[in-house]
Order: sequence, then structure tokens, then C-alpha cells
Amino acid sequence: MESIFGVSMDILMAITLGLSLLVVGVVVILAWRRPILTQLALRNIPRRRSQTVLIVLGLMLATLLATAAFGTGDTMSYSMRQAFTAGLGGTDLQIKRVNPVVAQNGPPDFNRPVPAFETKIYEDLKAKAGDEDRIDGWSAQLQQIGPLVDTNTKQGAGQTFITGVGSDMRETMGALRTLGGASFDVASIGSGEIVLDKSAVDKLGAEVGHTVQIVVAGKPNDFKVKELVESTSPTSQFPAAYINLGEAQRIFNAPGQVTEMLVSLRDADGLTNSAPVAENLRGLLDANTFTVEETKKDNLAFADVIGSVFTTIFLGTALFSIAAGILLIFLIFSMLAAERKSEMGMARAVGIQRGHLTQMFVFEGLAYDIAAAAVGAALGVAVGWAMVGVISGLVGTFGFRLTPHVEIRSIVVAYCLGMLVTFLTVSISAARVSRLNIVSAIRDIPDAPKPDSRLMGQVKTPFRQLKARQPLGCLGGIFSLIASLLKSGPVTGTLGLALLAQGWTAPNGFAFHTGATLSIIALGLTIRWLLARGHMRRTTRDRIAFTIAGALLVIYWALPINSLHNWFGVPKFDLGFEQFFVGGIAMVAGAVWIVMYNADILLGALSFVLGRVGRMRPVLKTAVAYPMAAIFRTGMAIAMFSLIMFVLIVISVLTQINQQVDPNKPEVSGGYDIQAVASFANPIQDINAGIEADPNLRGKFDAVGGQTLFPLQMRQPGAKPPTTEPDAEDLATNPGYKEGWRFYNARFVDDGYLESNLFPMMIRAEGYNSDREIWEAIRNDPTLVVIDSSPVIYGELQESQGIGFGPLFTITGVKTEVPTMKPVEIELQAPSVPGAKPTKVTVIGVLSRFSNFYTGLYVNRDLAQQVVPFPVPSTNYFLRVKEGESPQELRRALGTAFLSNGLEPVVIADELKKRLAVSNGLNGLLQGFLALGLLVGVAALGVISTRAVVERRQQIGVLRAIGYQRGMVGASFLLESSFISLLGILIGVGLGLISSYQMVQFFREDTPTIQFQVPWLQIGVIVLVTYIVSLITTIMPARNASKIYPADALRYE
Amino acid sequence: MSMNGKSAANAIPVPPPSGETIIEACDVHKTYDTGSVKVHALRGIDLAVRRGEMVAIMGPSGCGKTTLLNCFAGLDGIDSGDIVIDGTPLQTMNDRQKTNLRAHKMGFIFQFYNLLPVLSAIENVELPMLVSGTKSGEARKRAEEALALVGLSDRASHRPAELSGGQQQRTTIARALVTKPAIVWADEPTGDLDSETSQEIMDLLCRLNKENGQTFVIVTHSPEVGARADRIVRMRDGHITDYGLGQGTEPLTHEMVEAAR
Repeated sequence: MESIFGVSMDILMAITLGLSLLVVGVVVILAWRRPILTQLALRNIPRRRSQTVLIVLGLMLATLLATAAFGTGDTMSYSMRQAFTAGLGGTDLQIKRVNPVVAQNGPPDFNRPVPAFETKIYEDLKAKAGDEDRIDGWSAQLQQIGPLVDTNTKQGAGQTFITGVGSDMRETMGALRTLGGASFDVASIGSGEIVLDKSAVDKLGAEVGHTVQIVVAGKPNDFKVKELVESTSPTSQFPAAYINLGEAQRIFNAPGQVTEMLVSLRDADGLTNSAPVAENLRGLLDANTFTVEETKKDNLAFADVIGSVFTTIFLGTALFSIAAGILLIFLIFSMLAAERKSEMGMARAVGIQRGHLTQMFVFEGLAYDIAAAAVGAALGVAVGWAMVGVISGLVGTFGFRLTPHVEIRSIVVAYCLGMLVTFLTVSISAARVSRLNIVSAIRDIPDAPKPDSRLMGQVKTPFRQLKARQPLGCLGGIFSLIASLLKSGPVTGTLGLALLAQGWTAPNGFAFHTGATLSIIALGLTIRWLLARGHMRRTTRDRIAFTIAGALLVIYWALPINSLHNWFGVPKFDLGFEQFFVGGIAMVAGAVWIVMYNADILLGALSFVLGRVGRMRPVLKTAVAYPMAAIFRTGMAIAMFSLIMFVLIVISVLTQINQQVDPNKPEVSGGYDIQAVASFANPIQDINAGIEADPNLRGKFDAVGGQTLFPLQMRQPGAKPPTTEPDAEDLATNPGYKEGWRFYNARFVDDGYLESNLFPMMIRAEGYNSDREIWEAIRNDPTLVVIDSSPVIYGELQESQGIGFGPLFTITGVKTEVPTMKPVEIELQAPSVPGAKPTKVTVIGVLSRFSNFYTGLYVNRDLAQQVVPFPVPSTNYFLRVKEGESPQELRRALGTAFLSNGLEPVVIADELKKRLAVSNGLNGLLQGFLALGLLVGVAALGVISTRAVVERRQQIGVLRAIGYQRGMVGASFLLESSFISLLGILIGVGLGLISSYQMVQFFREDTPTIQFQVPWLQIGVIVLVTYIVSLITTIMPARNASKIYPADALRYE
Repeated sequence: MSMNGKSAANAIPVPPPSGETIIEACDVHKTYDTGSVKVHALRGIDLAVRRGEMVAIMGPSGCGKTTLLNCFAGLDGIDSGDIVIDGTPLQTMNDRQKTNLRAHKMGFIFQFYNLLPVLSAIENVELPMLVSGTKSGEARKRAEEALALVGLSDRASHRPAELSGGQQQRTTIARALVTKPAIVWADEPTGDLDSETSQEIMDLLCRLNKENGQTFVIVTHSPEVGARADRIVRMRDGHITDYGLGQGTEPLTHEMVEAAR
């Protein structure tokens, strides 16, 4: 993987490694200069071993998640690189005729759909480029797509890439690898011999020695299978076969012709020389006729994009867990400080500076950090590989094979990132906990409330520390200053309003919503400041201010997504992940503020309710009272649970939408059961006659429709020009780009299809009262058409936001939220067809969003004659089986009946289920990955409980003295952690449901058919597992607490 | 009541008038083993306390006073010997039974108050009653009465951190007395208080002792506190050196107690 979030991994590594070394270097120098502080700091590590283990576990999480995300991305990149370059061998550049779909001269020959050219052109180019010493090999091949039939197994592979190769193939592709692992020289393929790749072998069930037929124009050509080789295409969707070049030219009726020239470059990676040589070759060729593709470079880049997408998704969702992890680090260090409060007070009393305390914590923290990041990286690799195992199982059905792979660079970046995030958090925590009142610390009593700090004093602190030559103290001072600035209402408010304004004008949803969030927080801070002027009690003013701010935050983020647009004309923003992240954190923070600052009310209510529960009353009372008394740590622990639960619930609900894609619904399948694709090389002349002739098929279908997928150029007259400038590639591949032409698939549909399909419309043109009326209108008037929803949705976005979608075809002037539209006129033309004229058609309907498996412009086949001046055979069939018939059996019968046409039928429901299974599986994996974040909450509870047992030893003694049984003490601890985890879970589930409800409502604007459904069972399982795991973590401390002998506890100080 | 086959009340000296004994201990040994060092905290303690008596246990630091209190209250185990509380031998009881005994028959006052910081004064006081199964309405009523008894009605809803030392100790006393226990164990009840507040607390304890007839065993360093007790039992090095049975009484040694049996 070469980049993440748009930043090169090399640069990222340089920055993170540099910063990490700087941090470690500075800390080591400081530690060396003050060995006594170092000794004191490091001596703390082995003091409580179990606590040290918990700390390392808590601190490693950021690194673990980052490494796992990078590992998954690396594996995807690596595997895709392997897959995409497997069939290339040493080939770096491919030279083809442009626009391979339609022939340049005269009508296309569907028996050989890939346009060919004379071998002489190849020879000429080789001669012209003779002095190009960066090229080390040339070859030419003839590649067509056609049906293969194994006569021994009676199995077919309809769409096989059949490549005729000569001995020059050694210079470019080199050798292929046989399934037995040996090397195979493609040049050794003799006349009448064929080599099959694994995908073809799987489809045909072929073995060496079998006879395989290539059917061209109805004529079978027999070949003997010479060898079986590894797959040469990325997925099993594209089987491949190799024959002798001369044979290929013969059977495809292309004597002396080839379809591609391949070039191998001298450099090892094929990347350095790729662009200049390609440019050089372009200069030697007719640019309108030939394209020079940097195949290897492009494939590798595409593989990297896939890897990067995976890393981005996983790292993006892990942000919630990392945020929770940061809270955990704060919590751990607050606990450590609380534990050592009296010794810290003592140290201060005997002359240790505050900065020294900070340094000691930083030394200790860095030691944990270095160890934790190493453990996290190692575990992250393991987790990443486990995730790859799951993904591999999911995508295996499509023939992808994943090889676990992780780059050292990724581990370094993840290690350094995790270490830096942790170090930063540790440093801030250290600066925070070092500020203590010496007397209160020595006596281990709560600090008296500090007077509100003066901002000027905060500004001066870093300079004072610097003067005192305490760099870490200075760092702490800077953190405190930033914290003070943010704690000050006006500064946060100004920042918030600036972001708000920037977000509005840009328009940028992330900036806008972040600005709004900061403004709300600033409002709370300002209220607190104003109340302080009125000499109100600190607790009361905090309660009022943070309850208002918390409630506003929750309300703001719980609003319907476009409500600000509807009410105040704020721009419509896209729903980006970063917004989801800010929203999640803001809502959780708001809810936790409300709960914690009103703890006494909650406590009162709980006591009132629990006061009626028999002998457990005193246990419940203490179990609730303790966490509610420690607002800071309880709030943080609750927030950790809430954050993770929030994102898990949102993903659960959104996954549920996927489940609503019912393959049996007409909007998904059009009411058909079987889809079958035939080969262009040998199309079916009359499928109905074929069905009638076969006793296994006769009378078993209710409807048969046919269509042809054909890329056309389309444009909407009078539509606004796109705002994005075309790049060179757009212009090269689309000669009409500047005139507004865009490529889009047309589906030429026959009468059978128009009569029988049940695809519903999202939008109908005025005057049409039913979907059926629309399809009938198209049947009667070939100038009327229907289009799928995506060009309309993109067109609407283009209009409202002024975004250009480059080479995408869009239709403007149609509002997706309105169920009727005015008919829209568009123009079509076949590209590069001499004599073809633009044809005007009228869009009278937009398909339901759920029909997005079959995108395209639906055009009556009769119009095809006008748009494309040659006959276009049907290759895509849709069949509805009679009631009581088995689609699976008929699928097999169809395959057998039309074997020579290479017909590949699939049961639509099965195929969609397979695709849904993959997306559901990936969602499940994402949830599993997120659930790792729950470790944070669980670890937090472990830390809190362990600490609580130590902290409350004497109080446990008192409780035992006044009559608490052992079990009651243990139960009290378990109930206490249950209280925290359940409250966190409850807040997370509640907020998650609110957020996901609003998201579903937002999606419903485009797709009204989807429903907000809560997967209660799944949520129930998530909640139960989380709760049980958190309970298990506290069992040990609870048991320890119950085992304490009362006299021992009372003696403890 | 027999201990080791003999009547402890007859064998171990108690002050006149000899009444019903509520605490009887015979030859109690307790050793703390820290691994490297063994500390013999109690070396054959014999003691009897009669019902309603206020006994002060005094002696230098480390003499075993607090250990004696902890062992007699069932908070700590003993190595050997017999302890009988209100007719029930401690060593035959399991942890649950000892806990029940403490919940129903004992109250505790500690030097550092040891109130639960997260509960208000009244919640701290009512907690022992909730533990012993009293209904919450009844518990609250009695906690209010107990707080009134120690003069803290107006501070009922305050948390310990919001109370002065004396007020916290009064709350502890209210907590110790709210279940109307037969025995109140007090470990340095005035140790953390100024002399004026100490005086007030001791007045309160003496008044409650007289009014309710409860037995008080008070561990203290303070001669003023000792002077307010019915008698002072003195300890040194894990032995009782003086049972405080009156002027001219020879300090009793273990051998003397043994001989008296």
C-alpha cells in the first residue's frame, strides 16, 4: 500500500519515525541528566505487576488497531498486485486499437468483438522503436472472447478470453506456472492444442487430454488440453485459454491479424520507464487509432487503491476505538496519580519540582508506551491476518485469493503512530496530574477547588518553565495553555464560529458541524463563566452549564440530517465518515455530561427504586454511590463504552438495510428468476425456438426477455456544462467529451422483456399512472426510454452543489424526492460508427434505486437499428419460470441446451444472495474489528476495579465490621462495574439508534423503499457479550475485595 | 459458662460488683507472621468484661491493644485461646456467623472515623441497619434519631468531607449505636480530635453508656479518656499487666491468672 488518507506511506513513515526518534531522544537525554528521577519513575513499573499488564494492554490498543488496519490493507494490495499482474508476466505496456467495443471500419463482427489490426503495424512499430533501449521485449497476440465447451464433461465457459500466442510471447509474458508448480513455455503450444487457466478448468471440469471446443459463428473447433496453468486474471469471472497464434487467426477469421502488441521494459518494477516509453510509443502511432496502456503500472496502482480503501475503512472506523483508547490512557494515568498522591505530595514537600513530577510520569509512561506499542504491533499483525482469513473466505467465491502480507513500513508507521498518540496523551495526563496541593496530597484528601485560572498566567507558564530549563514542563505548560484557551468560552466560540462560517461557504459538512459543536460547547463554557460571576456554587453552575451544553449537543446531532438545510437554507452536505465521527463523539460527550452532572438526581431515583429490593439494598446503595461520587473516572469509563457501542449499533442498523434487499422483490429482480448471458462470438438466434425444441425446457417458462448491453455516447441537451476540466485520458477515450457526450450503457430490450418485466419506477413522467403503462409506452414508441436512478441522483447533486462528475453521465432537472417528473429529452449516438447520427429519445421513467444491479438506459430494440446501423444480437436473457418449477434445475437445463452458445445462466436470487453474503460478511468483519475497541472499555473497568479495591481497603474493612458479608462486598464491586458498563451501553445504544434512524431517513430521500429496522437480536447479543466480558474483568478484583480480612483492611493506610 | 472446662468469670478477675459478663477471653494468642518476622501481638490474654461496663485499654504503641480489639470483635482470627461474646464462643463460628454477630450485637468507632465518603451522614448511619435487614423507612427513622442523639440533625444530608472531625466522629458514634448493639468497640475515638472536641465525644460516650447500659471497650492512649472509663486495663508486650481492679491491686501476670483458675 502506497498511501493512506492521500498521504504517501513513505512520507508518513519519515514523519512518524522522525517524531518518534525525536521524542525518545529528548526523553532519554532528560532521563540521563536526571538519573534519580529516572530511577524513581522506572521503579514504579514492577510495583504492581497485574496493574502494569493492564496499563500495557490499555496503551497498546491504538497501535494494535492501526497495525491490523494496515496489515489488512497491505494484504489486499499485495494480493491484488499478484492477481492483477499474474497474467502479465513481464509485460508492462499494451497497445490496442481504441474503442474495442465497436469496430472502426464498417459493422462490428460479433464473432471477434475485439478489434484487430494487421501484423504489419506491429512489425513497423517494432522497427521504428528499434533504438529504444529501455524496451527488452516485444510480442503480439490475438485475443477474443468466446465460448468453450469441454466435450468430455459437457461443461461450458461462455465468456472465455481466448488468446492466440506466438513464440515471441517468451519476450514479454514469459512462462506460465502450471497447477503442479512447474514452468510452462506458452510458445510450445502446437496446432490443435489448448492451455487452460484455473478459472477455465473450474468452469469446464477439464483435465489434460480432454477435448475442448471453441465455438465461433456456430462452428466448433476442437482442441486437446495440453496443460493446466494458474489463473491469469484477478477473478474466476474471467476464465482464460491459450492457443497457437496461427490457429487463433484461423478460427476467428483474422489471417495475419492481431489485437494487441505487448511491450516488456528493462527496469525491474516496470514503473520507472513506463510513462516515458509509453509516451515515446504514442508518438510513433496514430493516436486516433491506437492507445498505449501502461497496464502493469495501472494495475499496480489499482491494487494499491484497493488496499488503501480497505485500510481507510478499517482505520476510519477504528477512530472511535482509538478515541476510547485515549480516554483510557487518561484514566490510567489519573488512577496512577491518585494511587501515588501522598508520595507525590511528600516528594514535592522535600523539594521535587512540579516539572520533575511531570518528567517522572513521562519517563514511566514512555517505558510503558514503547513496550505497549511493540505488543500492539505484534498483536495487530495477528489480528490483521485473522481478518484477512475472514475476508479471504468471503471473496473466495469470486475467485480472489488473498496472501497474508504486511510491509515493514506499515508496522513502523503503525508502531510510531500508536506510540506518538499514546505519548501525547501520557504527556498531557502527566502535566495534569502533577498539579497538586502538597498538603492535600500528603494527607490523601480531596484537593480544595482551585480558583479559576487566569489566562495570562497560563500564557506565561511555558516561558517560565523554559527559563527554568524544563522542556517537559514547558510542554506541559503549552498543553495547559491550549486546554485553558479551549476551556475559555470566547476562544472556543470564536474557533467554532469560524469553522461554522467556513463550512457554510465552502460548503464543507465536516467544518460546519465541527464548528457548530464547538459553538455549543462554548455556549456552555460561557454560561458557566457568567454563573461564576454571580457567585453560584461551583457544582451548581457546572451542572447548569454542562447539562445545557450536553443536551444541545445531543439534540443538534440527533436532528434529521437535512433539517438545517430545510429550516435555514444551510447547504446540503454529503454524509461523510468524519462527520459521523465528530457527531458520535459529540453526542456521547453530551449524554455523559448530562448523566454525570446530574448524578445526584439519578442516584436519588435509583435509591428510591432500589430501596425496595430486600437485603441487597445496602449493596446496591454503595455500588451506585461510589461511581457517582467519582464523576471524572466514571464519566470516562461510561464514555468509552458508549463510543464503541454507538458505532456498533449504527453499523448494525445500516447492515440491516442490506438485508432489506430481498432478491425476490420485483425492484431487485424485475420479477425474473434466471438471468443468462450468451457469448457474442456465438449468439443465440432465437431463444424461444430453442426452449420450444428442448423437452426439458418446453412450457416451463412464463416469460422470456432479451436485451443487449451496448455502450453508447449520451448527452442531455441544454444541461449545464460540467465544472471539472477533462483530463487527457477523458479526451483520448471519448472523442465527443467537449461536446458533452458521455459513455453510458444502453440496454436494447426486446418486446418479450418490455411485456414481462416488473421493475418499478422511483419517478414516473407526468401522465403515466402505473409502471406498466411506462413499459408499454416504450414498447409502442421506441423514442421513449427509462433510465436507472444513478445518473439522476448524480445530476441532482451536480445541480445543487455545483460538483462536476467528470466522465459520468448525469441527468439534471429531475428531483429524486418528487415521484413525478417532466419528460427529459436526451441524445444518443454510437461512438466511432461512420454514418451514425445522434438520435433523440425521451426519458419517461427512473428505475427504483433497488434496481441498481441492472443499471443503464432501457431502449426499445427497434431503436437500436436507428442508433447502430447494423444488427445487434441479444446476449442477455431474463427468464421467469412457471410456478412449481425449480429455477435451479432449469438453470442447469438451459446451460446444457445452449452449451455451444456459451450460455451461462444464473439463478438471480442465488447470485444476489451470494453478493449480499459478501457485503454482510464484510460488515460483520468490520463490526468484529470495532468490537476490539470494547477491550478499551473492559480494560478501563479492570483498571477502575483494581484501583477501587486498593483505594477502598479501609472502607471495605468498615463495611465488613458493620456486617457486610464477604459475598456482599464482592457483589458490591460487581454491581458497581455493571452500573458503569450498563449505563455506557445504554447511552451508546440509545444514541446509536437515534443516529442510525436519522441516517436511514436521509437514505430514504433517495430510496423511499428502505425502512428503519432495528436488529434487536444482534443488538441484544452485542449488549450481552459486552456486559458479560466486562463482568468477567471485574470478577478478580471483586473476589480479592471480598477476601480481605476486616482487621487487615482496617489496618491499611 | 465454661471455658476450658472452667468458669472464666470465676477465674478471671472482674471488678465488683460481679455481674453478668458479656466478654470473656481466656489464654488468647495471636501472632503476625510477615514471612521474615514473627510478631507475637497477644501472648495469652485473659479478660472478662461485665455487661454495661466501660473499659479502657491502654498501653504503649505496639503493645497489642488494637489487635485485642480486632480479635475480640471477630474482625481478626486468633491462633489459640477462647473468646466468648454474649455467651457465644467466637472460635466455633464461621465468617458468616461472625459477620452476623457484628451486624446485630456490635458497633464500631474508629480513630479516623472511616465513614463512607460517598454517602451522606444519614446514609452512613442507616447502612448497618439496612445490612441487618431493617426496612428502609424504619432505618431512616432510627438513623435520624441516632443523629439527633449525637446532635447532628442539621448535618444529616452532608457528606463526610463537608463535616468537621468532631462531627464525623459523632456520625461514627451514631452509626455504631443505631443498631442498639450490646458492645461498642472504640479504637482511639478521640485520637484525631482536639481536646475540647475529645471532651465532648467522651461526654457523649459516657452518657450513652449510662443511659443505654451498653458495654464500651475503648482502646486509647489518652489518660483523660481512660479516666472516664469504669476501669483501665493496661497492656504491655502482648500481656495484660493491670486489670484496673482498684488501688493497690497487683498487676496480674499470666501465671497469676492461671493460678487463679
